[in-house]
Amino acid sequence: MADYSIWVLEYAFVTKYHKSGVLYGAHNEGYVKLPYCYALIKGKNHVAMVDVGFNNKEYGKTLGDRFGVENWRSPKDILAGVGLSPADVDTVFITHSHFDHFGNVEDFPKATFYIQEREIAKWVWAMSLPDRMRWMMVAVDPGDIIRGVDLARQKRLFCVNGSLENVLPSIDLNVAYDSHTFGSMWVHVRNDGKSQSSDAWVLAGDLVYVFENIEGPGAVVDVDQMYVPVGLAVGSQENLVMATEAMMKSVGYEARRVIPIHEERLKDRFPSRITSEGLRISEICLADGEKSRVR
Amino acid sequence: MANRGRDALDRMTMVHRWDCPAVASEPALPPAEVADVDMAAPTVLRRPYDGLRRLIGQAAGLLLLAQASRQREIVDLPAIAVAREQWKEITAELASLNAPQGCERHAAHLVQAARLIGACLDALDAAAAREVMDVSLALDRVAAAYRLAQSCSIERLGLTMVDFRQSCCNCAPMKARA
Repeated sequence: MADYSIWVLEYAFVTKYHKSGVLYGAHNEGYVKLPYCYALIKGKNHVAMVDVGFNNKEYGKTLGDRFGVENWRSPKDILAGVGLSPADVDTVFITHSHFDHFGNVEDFPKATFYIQEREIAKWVWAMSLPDRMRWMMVAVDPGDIIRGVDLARQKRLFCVNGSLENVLPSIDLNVAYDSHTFGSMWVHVRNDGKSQSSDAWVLAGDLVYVFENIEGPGAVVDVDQMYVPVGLAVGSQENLVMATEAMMKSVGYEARRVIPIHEERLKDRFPSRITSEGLRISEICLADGEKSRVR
Repeated sequence: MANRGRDALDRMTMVHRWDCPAVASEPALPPAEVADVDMAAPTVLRRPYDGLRRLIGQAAGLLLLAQASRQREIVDLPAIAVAREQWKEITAELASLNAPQGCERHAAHLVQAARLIGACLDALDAAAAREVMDVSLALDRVAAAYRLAQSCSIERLGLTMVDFRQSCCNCAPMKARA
């Protein structure tokens, strides 16, 4: 019995991303393709998103010209690939406030948003620091925070303080403080509805970029595999490793159940298809009675 | 003249919502052909521009926390005092700014944005004093300030509202990878 279907939907990509960005210490090891994705969870009369991507109107030219971000498509186009529209989305979990996760709230007119309070509170602190410390302020658009205020005014945005169980039925929010960002959140879906689930999935946000963050080569320390944190952390690599352990524990240490949305090789692990627009849909799991969108 | 300017400012911040097309369509300033801009522009403008960008971020974050939590205590946070202190510094800096050639309107917009941030912080204070916390007016002001600052952005001079340099997309500038 499965309550929810989960898809990872690619909405843009970078062809050549430096590998050291996704994997700590992978210097001079070349490039990997970096897909930009969000996740969609459907079931129990809910349609929820994990992150909303960015708005090409604001950033598209800069990202395209300077950083090689290609083939951006709107949520309307992307969600059509699984038979939905942005207006169907009732809930959005923002894993963190970087522009490519929190940068397109306006395209989801009926959704209620959840973000960690600390993600905002520490942003305020970081923005008060002098310019020489601006490294801690990167990738967040004040405009996205302003749009967040408007959502809060409409009672459509809630700040979560720590973990929150059953934010939707059998879906929990968890936090990894001072890791990739100040208040990065991961989403735990207990797909059999049980508190000790044997069919759980984790949508990891940017706490995990690629499979090697969980299943990294361990030969150097004489183990088969070990956690290797992502390359970018405003907090600490220690906190990233501890967050990885918490995510893995929540899925019974079954690595394939922790979903890294920036991982191109999801297509090798889960049924996937490439749309007519050249973007990937990966089908992580299907709820009972739900039809496949990739076959 | 001064009154007319103030009237215009009040009209923009109080009559229009921040996403009203009349404000949102604030004409982007000439995308600044860098050749036409005084070479001193990046040096002269960057400090107040970055300072305002950060102040806008602080103010927006505080508003979000205040609105989402409905806690009046937000206005007593040290962060508010820090923001006010930085606002004073930037306002003073802008008052003595000699606008570089080709960037006169950019400088004027920054001055206007700074005034709006001050007004935003005042509105947040006022909102906390009311029976029901509502940051709408403060939101209108910070959003208008954002639009003004955004209209001053000159990407090629490093004046941008989002710093992408360490972000997920940053795999070094295209030129370096070519």
